[in-house]
Amino acid sequence: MSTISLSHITKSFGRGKVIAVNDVTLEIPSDHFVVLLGPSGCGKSTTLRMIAGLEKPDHGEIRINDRVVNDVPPQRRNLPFVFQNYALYPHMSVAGNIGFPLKMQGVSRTEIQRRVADVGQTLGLGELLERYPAQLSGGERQRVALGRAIIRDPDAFLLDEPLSNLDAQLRGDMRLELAQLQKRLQATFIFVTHDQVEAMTLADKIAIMRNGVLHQYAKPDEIYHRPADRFVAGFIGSPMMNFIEGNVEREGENAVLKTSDLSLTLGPITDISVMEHQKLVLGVRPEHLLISPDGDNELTVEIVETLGSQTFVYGKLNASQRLSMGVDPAVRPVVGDSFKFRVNTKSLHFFSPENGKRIIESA
Amino acid sequence: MTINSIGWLRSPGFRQSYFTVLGLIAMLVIIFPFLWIVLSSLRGVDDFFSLELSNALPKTLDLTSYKLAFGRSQLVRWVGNSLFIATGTTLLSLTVSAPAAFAIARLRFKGRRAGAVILISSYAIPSIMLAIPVFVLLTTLRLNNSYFALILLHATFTIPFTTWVLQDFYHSIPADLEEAGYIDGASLRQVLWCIILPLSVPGLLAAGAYSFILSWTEFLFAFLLVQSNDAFTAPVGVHAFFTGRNATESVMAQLMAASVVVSLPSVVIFAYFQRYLVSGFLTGAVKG
Repeated sequence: MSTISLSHITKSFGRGKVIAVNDVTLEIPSDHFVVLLGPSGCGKSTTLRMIAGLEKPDHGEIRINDRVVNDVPPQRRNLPFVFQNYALYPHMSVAGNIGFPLKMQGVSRTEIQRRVADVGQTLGLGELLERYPAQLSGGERQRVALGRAIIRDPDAFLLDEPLSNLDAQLRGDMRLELAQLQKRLQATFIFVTHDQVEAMTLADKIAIMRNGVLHQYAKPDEIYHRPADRFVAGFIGSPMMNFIEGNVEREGENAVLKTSDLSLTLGPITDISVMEHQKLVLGVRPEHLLISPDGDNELTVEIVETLGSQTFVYGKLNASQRLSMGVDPAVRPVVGDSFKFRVNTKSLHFFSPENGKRIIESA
Repeated sequence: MTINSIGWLRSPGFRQSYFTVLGLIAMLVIIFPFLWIVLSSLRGVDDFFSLELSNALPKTLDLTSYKLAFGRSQLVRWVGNSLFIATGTTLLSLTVSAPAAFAIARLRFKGRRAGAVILISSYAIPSIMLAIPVFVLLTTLRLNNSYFALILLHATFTIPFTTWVLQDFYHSIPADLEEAGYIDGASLRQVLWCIILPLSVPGLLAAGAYSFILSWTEFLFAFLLVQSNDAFTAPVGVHAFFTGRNATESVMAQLMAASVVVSLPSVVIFAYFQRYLVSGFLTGAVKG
């Protein structure tokens, strides 16, 4: 089984003009499903390509099982890579595509046929082995690309946005299949995506990147509940977390977030271990704002988003401050309604207004 | 005249007819010399110099000119020589240019761009400038009258162009496929052989057809280097029919027949491969 570690990896393009990956350090334990997550251009694919050997880091070390592989070409890393567009060889049949890595290893023809049939069976491609990529659907092509990776029996798999070309229904199905496959193979999966749902549902650990910098590397639960900074907090969760910049003040028994034109009651001051008068950014997820007739805050509904199992409303606290809030669908909110609400003080996040870092825990 | 009265000038029907007629005229102008050669070769020896319009089209299918051309010359051998040289040139061109083009298109090394520009710039040098130095060089090396020398020489003219066409063609193949090959354990040579070349068949056919036709029709260097009648290429052999002092009906008719025979292979090759030629050349034309 493979442990992959990246130590202070930096990669730039255009003679140093564009820094794609900046001092990234990452330890990927054996048999883990690790997702590299971030917006377009954040450096996640470049990181994956460096692990595969398709790009060479400018600085830092990549180790596979404690062996430095910076100068080892992709042919000798035994790390299959599933490309975003699958990269199937169009002139080879499905069997030819799946068996190609074994052919390159010099495995005998009969052994290749046997193993291709096995993999075809595993991935439900048995009937399609003689077809060509152009004759396959998107989902079938995806399976062939996975088959080409599995047949080598590697310790780790690299997948670069492999689901992004599939429609929503198929993407959901393939996500499930991938999760089952990883459990069955007991192998390390490193998966690149910009889709937070894929990341949250598949990953044992998520590495969130932006502008080449690794912002947080943690379990999905921790990423969601204890985001390391304002970027991570805003990137994970939909609708995104509400942010309000101000000072926390005491008003009687309550803590109140004060801005120049707003006073938001947070709850009992004892629930919040925060220094008074400290300038900070409050982060609160929409689902942690709760409709309550005795709440001290009021929201006027501007937009209603009904998703079936959930309903979100977007509204204003005052002329300048807007919030999103999750409500019970049974409430059936309409535009123009006003709700009294309170804040779940157990789920507040505070960030530094200067550098966006998480500065304090909600009690 | 009102705008409406000339509106038909802009109608799709008129424009289509207009361009069709223009195209037909252009085609006639281009095809006329070849058509005239074919008709003249079939007209018979006696009517060859006739300027009567009624004699323009052969009254009967008279193959006398062909019988004479084959009977009184080594036309078959010359065609065979050309076939050998053109095939050799094509194989040599593709053998050199396929990997060279891959290196220019995909590998990163110092001087890559400069090399590529110099390669295509070599086309700016007129052949006639090279004629004397090449003649002196090959005669000194005792390579005159040598098929090998002609294959080598023709290949030096075709390789820059075929390399250029192929490197543009390789650009149209997604880099992911090549990278997938490396990931799957293929070496550089295996990626070229197992992935890139099979996907480049249209480009290879275009480049090969171009090499073959250029070598088949090349006259200047074949004329300079080959003195032995046995070793003539087809164009030099055709030229040998006519010495300037023997412009009789019979000789001119044989010349026409031989010209038709010599032109046929390149016409057939062009007709068969023209779709690849167009796609192969356009790949380079439209790539950014």
